[in-house]
Amino acid sequence: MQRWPGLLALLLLLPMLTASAAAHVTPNSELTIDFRDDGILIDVIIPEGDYVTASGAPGQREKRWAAAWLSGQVAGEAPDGRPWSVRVESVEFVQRAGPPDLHAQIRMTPPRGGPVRRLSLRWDAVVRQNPDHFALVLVGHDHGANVLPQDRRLIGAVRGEQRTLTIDRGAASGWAAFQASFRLGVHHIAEGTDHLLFLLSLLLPAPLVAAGRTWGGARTTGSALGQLAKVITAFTLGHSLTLLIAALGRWHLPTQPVELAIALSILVAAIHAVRPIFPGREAWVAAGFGLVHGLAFATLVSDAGVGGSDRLLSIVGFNLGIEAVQLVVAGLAIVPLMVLARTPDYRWVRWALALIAAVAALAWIIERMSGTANPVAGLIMTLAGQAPWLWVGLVVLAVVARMRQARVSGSGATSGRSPSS
Amino acid sequence: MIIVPALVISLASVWWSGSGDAGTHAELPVPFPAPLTSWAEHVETIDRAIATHQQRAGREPTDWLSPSAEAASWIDRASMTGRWQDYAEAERALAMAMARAPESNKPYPLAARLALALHRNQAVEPALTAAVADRTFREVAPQADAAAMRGDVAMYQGDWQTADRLYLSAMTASPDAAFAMRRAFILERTGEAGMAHQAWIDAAWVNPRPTRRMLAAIALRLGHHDLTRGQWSEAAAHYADADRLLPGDWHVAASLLQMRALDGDLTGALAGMEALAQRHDLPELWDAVAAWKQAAGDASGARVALDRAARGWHDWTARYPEAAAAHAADHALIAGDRDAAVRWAEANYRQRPYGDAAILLATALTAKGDYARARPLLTPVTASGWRTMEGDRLGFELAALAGDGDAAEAAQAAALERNPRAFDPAARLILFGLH
Repeated sequence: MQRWPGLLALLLLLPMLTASAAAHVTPNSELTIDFRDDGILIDVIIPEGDYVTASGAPGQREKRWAAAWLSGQVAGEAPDGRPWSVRVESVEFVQRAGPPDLHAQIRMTPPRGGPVRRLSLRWDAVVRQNPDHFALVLVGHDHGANVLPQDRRLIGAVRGEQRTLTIDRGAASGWAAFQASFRLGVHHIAEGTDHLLFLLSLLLPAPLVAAGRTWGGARTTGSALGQLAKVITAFTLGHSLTLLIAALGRWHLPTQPVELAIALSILVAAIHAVRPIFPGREAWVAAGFGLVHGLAFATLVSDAGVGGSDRLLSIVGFNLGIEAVQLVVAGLAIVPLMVLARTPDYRWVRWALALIAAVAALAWIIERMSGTANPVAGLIMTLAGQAPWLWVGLVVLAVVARMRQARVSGSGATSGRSPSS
Repeated sequence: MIIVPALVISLASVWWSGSGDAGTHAELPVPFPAPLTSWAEHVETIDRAIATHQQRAGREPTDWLSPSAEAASWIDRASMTGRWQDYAEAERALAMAMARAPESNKPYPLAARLALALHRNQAVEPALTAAVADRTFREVAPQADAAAMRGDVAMYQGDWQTADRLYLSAMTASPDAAFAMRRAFILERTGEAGMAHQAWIDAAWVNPRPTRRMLAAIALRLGHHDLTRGQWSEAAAHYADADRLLPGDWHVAASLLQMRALDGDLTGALAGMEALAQRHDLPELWDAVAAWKQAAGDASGARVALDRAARGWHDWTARYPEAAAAHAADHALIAGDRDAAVRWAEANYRQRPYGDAAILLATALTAKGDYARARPLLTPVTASGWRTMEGDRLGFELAALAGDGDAAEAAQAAALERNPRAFDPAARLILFGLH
């Protein structure tokens, strides 16, 4: 998904967000380790040429052969000498930058009762066959130490006769896990264009009062803020509930129906922004769709391998990260919307923004049903990448509309009324 | 009356600036017109001069000037051919000159030059001390030459700051491209990239009559400079310039083939390198064939090439171990003989304990798995300001092997800042232009 950095959110959260990312820039192998509550997942990159020379692979890119070979090239040992189990989960040959690489995922599990965060990792692939080859070992994700994928850190290397690396990540810290989860929540929602678009679509009519089957005049400031608070709170309660239940229960739901439902929620909210279809029940709708959005968040939390005794704390941290960004985004959006709502121009602004949301929703529905990339969806993501400028544009629009209205008021026309839809 | 001469002069200058060097970088001067236009012609001319000096020396037993000139010609030839046999001939001719020359006129400057060429640094200063101004050879400016040679000794002892001062004094006394190029080399290792690049360009403009050979050497160095800064297309352009200036030079040909390999055509580059190695039969060219065959997965072909190279290095190291030590270490690394690599790298470092030698020794120790000795070798080199692409990469690798993630990432960032392609997988194919 395209990143949409919530400006204020990022400024406030900057100390927790510092990241240093190292790309695969070496001609040698890389092992990136994801520490989970039940073991580790190693993301392996080996230059294909080195793999072929070292392994004597018989055929062109035989994945099964490669997996079998790889499984014999790695071993883990607990501090008491007991071996870890090894399973090669996937192998593919890809070319991303430079020559092609073998890319694999290896899952390793400690012996019963053995620590997950302490092991001796032995790596022989290519290194044993070619003493000049070295393999970098990095930590890609360690929730218990507040290391997220964007913070990838080098912890050692193996080469020649030095093919065993002792890894001790220390005790997992609940506070570190909370911080990591908070950052993960911020990161996910900041990149979650669909979640934020749903919220913003609900906010479009928030400054207005429904009048039958149309949107009527503007609410007072207090009333608008109250409506905003109700909608956001309801959405938060909804997604928090399913996030907690699904994450704690380690539900693994199929992604496609959840993603489709999210796209549908945006479409419904966009229609509602044009013509009230559930006036006065926005909070209930927000809560209801919030339940669906929460399921998507729960999948991410599960994929992040957060667990153990810190799981609840991590889930709360993740949720708070989401809330922080939501509050900032909603706060930034509602101000120009409230100003615009008091001008005759708000009608076409609301319709235009609702139309964009509806088009985005339809594009995502098609994309998520067909499984193929949709150019319209791509365009929406490109626009989302320019969100800060769009916000500036909205603010400017609000100021200009207000000034125009003030000029018209000054020449004797009525003011303070927004047009009906 | 004015128009015709002005027109003639204008046309002549246009002809001069464009004569035979279309496409050469505008930053380099046009070579002074001369009959010799290729590497082969230069070598043939040297061979004719050698023959003449030998005839004269044979006719007159007291003639010491002819064997001196012959020795100088053999040294010159060796710098072009890269053959140790040429140095052996230079030694023979110099010994004859030394035996024949009167005490007050012995060719000590030439002896110092040859000692430097053979990496026998300890013999340079005694020769310079004993040297007398030799007015017979116009091209020698004794004091400036002596200062430059003392600078060379200082540099190879690891004191590049003293070396630079001595080169500057040589330039001041007798401006010459040879001294300017030495300063440019130091800047390349220790200074900012733009300054080093300009220093090479400035060196090309020092002599009022720049020869093709000198300009080709500078173009080659400019290519090496670009190569080690990750500017591969600029490097290829400079190598092409060098080839246009002095077609047939094997150093340039090897560099051009290397760029072909870096560009993705390893098969074509290998074929060209094999042909070049067959033509010149130099062990460093066979080493290149071996290394690239290894990269291509042709282990048996690599072994054949390594055997050819080993025969050449065996003769080199038997006759001139000091001069061949670094090459022998490189060969041993390619051959996978890590013990031999460390032995030769240590010998090289004992003889010339400067930055490049320290990095080579650290590389050999790392290959052998002796990381504890390797890493402390690099620290003073980097601290002194001496940096190379290999040193940067090795620094990163050693820090990673030591589990020092912070130092590794800092080393990686520093390496990439200096050379964005420092860790490019294709960079493993670079063998020429690193020194």
